[in-house]
Amino acid sequence: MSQPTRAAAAQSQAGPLAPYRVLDLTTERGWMSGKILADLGAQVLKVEPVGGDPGRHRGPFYQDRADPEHSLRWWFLNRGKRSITLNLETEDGRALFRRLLSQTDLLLESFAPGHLARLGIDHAQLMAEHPRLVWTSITPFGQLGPHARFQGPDLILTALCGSIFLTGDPDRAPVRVSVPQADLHGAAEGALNSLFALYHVSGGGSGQHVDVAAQLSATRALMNATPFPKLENKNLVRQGIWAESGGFKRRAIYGCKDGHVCIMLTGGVLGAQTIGALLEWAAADMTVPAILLDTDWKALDFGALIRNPEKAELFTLLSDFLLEFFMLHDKATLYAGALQRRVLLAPISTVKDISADEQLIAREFFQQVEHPGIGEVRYPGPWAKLSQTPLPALSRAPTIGEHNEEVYCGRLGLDRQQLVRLAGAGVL
Amino acid sequence: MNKQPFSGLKVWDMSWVGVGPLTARYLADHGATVVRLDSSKRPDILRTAPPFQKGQPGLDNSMFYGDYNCSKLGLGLDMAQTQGQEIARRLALWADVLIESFTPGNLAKWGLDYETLRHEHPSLVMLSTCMQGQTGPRAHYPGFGNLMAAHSGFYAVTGWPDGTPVPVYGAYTDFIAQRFTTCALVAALDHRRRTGQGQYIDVSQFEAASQFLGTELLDYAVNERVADRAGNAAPSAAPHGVYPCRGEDRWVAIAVEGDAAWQALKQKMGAPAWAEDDRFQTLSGRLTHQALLDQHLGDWTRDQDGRALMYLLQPEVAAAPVQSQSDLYEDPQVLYRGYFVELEHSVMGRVPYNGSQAVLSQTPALLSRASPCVGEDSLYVLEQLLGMDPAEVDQLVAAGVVEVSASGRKGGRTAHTAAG
Repeated sequence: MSQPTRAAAAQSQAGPLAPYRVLDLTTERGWMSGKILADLGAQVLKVEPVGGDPGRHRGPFYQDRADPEHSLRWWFLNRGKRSITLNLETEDGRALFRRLLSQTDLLLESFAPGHLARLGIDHAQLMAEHPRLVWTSITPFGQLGPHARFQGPDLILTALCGSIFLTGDPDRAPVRVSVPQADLHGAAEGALNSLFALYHVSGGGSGQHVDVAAQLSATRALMNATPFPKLENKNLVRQGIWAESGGFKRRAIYGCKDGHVCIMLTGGVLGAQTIGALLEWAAADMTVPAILLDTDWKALDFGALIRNPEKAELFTLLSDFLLEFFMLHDKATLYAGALQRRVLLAPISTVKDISADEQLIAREFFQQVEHPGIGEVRYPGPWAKLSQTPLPALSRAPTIGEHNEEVYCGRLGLDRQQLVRLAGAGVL
Repeated sequence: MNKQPFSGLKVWDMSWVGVGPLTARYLADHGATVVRLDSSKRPDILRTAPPFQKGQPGLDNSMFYGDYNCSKLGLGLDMAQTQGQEIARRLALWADVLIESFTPGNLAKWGLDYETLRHEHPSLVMLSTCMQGQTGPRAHYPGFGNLMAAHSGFYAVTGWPDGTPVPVYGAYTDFIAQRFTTCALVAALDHRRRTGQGQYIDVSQFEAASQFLGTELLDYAVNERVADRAGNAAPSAAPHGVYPCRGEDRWVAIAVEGDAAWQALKQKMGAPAWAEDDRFQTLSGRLTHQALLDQHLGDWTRDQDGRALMYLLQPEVAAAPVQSQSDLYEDPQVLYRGYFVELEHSVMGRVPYNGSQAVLSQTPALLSRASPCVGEDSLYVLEQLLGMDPAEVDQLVAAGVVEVSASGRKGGRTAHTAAG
């Protein structure tokens, strides 16, 4: 960390992590980690191989122009970082890497286990040389163990973590979220554990290695499912558009005029408010069956339903009734009505709906970021409001090696001729 | 063993359900002393939800609650009574960190809002987390992560192209938001360590969750493309899907990225004639004829075991069994990492907690105690942490302000070492 005086000067506009220097060697699977830290104000330096990070070649692209400077995933997950190129397969490259390391608080990497060692980068030796360094590795399964060398793209991780077993229609194959998620969980887990380790250092402790497994990070998202085999001697199974818990099923997803909505039907204190308000609302359009009006929903909490499983049938009747009611209205009307009546309902939004969401807009969540030669681009923006150290304004992701001169000359003291020579030799 | 990163840090966890308690658990597992607010009159709704030990409902029998609250001390407090509010205030002044997830505005009624607390306690770091943030037209709308996952776009991109959206299991966005709240909180603690300044943190779970669809939001902003459901397909890999295996509801996932992996798959299958079809020899061919390809591959996997297929195909071909919850307890890698941690709970007995997803080489996470029953640590918290007089505490218990669990962890009052 740099000197406290410098930290104090930088703090107010720069975010809570302003003094920290992060060397980000991650491949695409780990980009989110440095992005979170950069959002919090850390100085994140992305190290790209000569020619650019291979992840830049994966779409989607700006205007669908396949160009490493137009990768939207790169734009989003590397915003606020700076970029240098560096060839770690050369001796000169590794020497520069070691010099950078002496100016680094946190190193992030997501190579396959053993990759850096094969390049002659000795993790244990570097940790010994830099006792306050935090070194975070983000991989599918962790550094060691029987599966450590296995491939773990998103579909494989979501299969192993247990999530897709629980997702999709019961009469079809399990299905994943179409937008890859597992690595994002791993990388975000990498960010917070890195911060734990940095906090340990700032409290006088030593640096350490942080070994993150994306599979397990995605397992955490199973909410309450994992203890079921041990406590209730069963596995939960996927229910499609239905939700099942505590032994009773009720419909979660309903069609409406222009898409779908989701509701959470439970009994008990919370659920009764939603059900009562929904029935009153629907009564304006339809005749509500007497049995639904006469039911004491407040009394039907999980415990009551487990003791009286036959009562679960009431939720099926309720679901069938609501299916007809929701088809009379569109998403926006239903959500507005739900807000007014304090009904637990949500629209099933698309990214288009989210981009126009009045709450996000009111909180200035979307921010314009200038891209040279392209103009302003509207980004989903900062995700926390901190009263003393607000998150810094968003800035765009770097071009390939955009900060080579600034870093190699400014920080490491090379002269421009050396820079040209190293570039010519394929080192950067 | 090394001192934990948050040893000595004091946390008053007034939050409930998911994101707040999970955030506090991270701190607790890494050494903080965390006091969790509980009440049987207004219990955390997770205490009323399964899984229950042996399927028997009960506030102290839910592992839904338990799994989010290990390593913490449980304080039973009736916040409807003035004296309860006063104890909550004393804990806020005791704490370095206050975490809450009430509907915005609720804490102000009790004088526990940040604007009030900061005058007496300027170094307090306070985290408020709710569905949509503390400000804006929908700040006051309550909800759960299940609904937020629909609202923030995840359901729309889950399911088959010819079907409806389907839910992602669970309160999905809670497990995104908890990581962002924790990052913001620890960053603020580090700032506090450098400057002595506390601060207030407002995290909207909607905004945090949107970070996991950020590329797709950007794709809409610049290309007007609306991300949609694609089943298990990927734009640049084939075969890429989930295929049936031997047994009921057993499946294997196979993801073939690139021609080398395709050649490896053919070889591992024993070079069947169908795989030599010209249409399958390029990625574009395999993408075009995916349905036929999936049919052939499914015929090959159908009578095999998913885990055995993983060991046959990996690491040359990315493959894995689709694991159920019970499979997780037999996954050799999960076992190697020691992920599930069994702790002895006062009522439930030995139960498995989700452990740490990261291993810190010098200060590994420590699940220091099972989750508390309602009021299990009330006496310890009030007498040992707040230094209250036992006679006064007895009066508060008699008046129903303070709740003490029947199971009373180790009798509660003495010889009780706090986490860390």
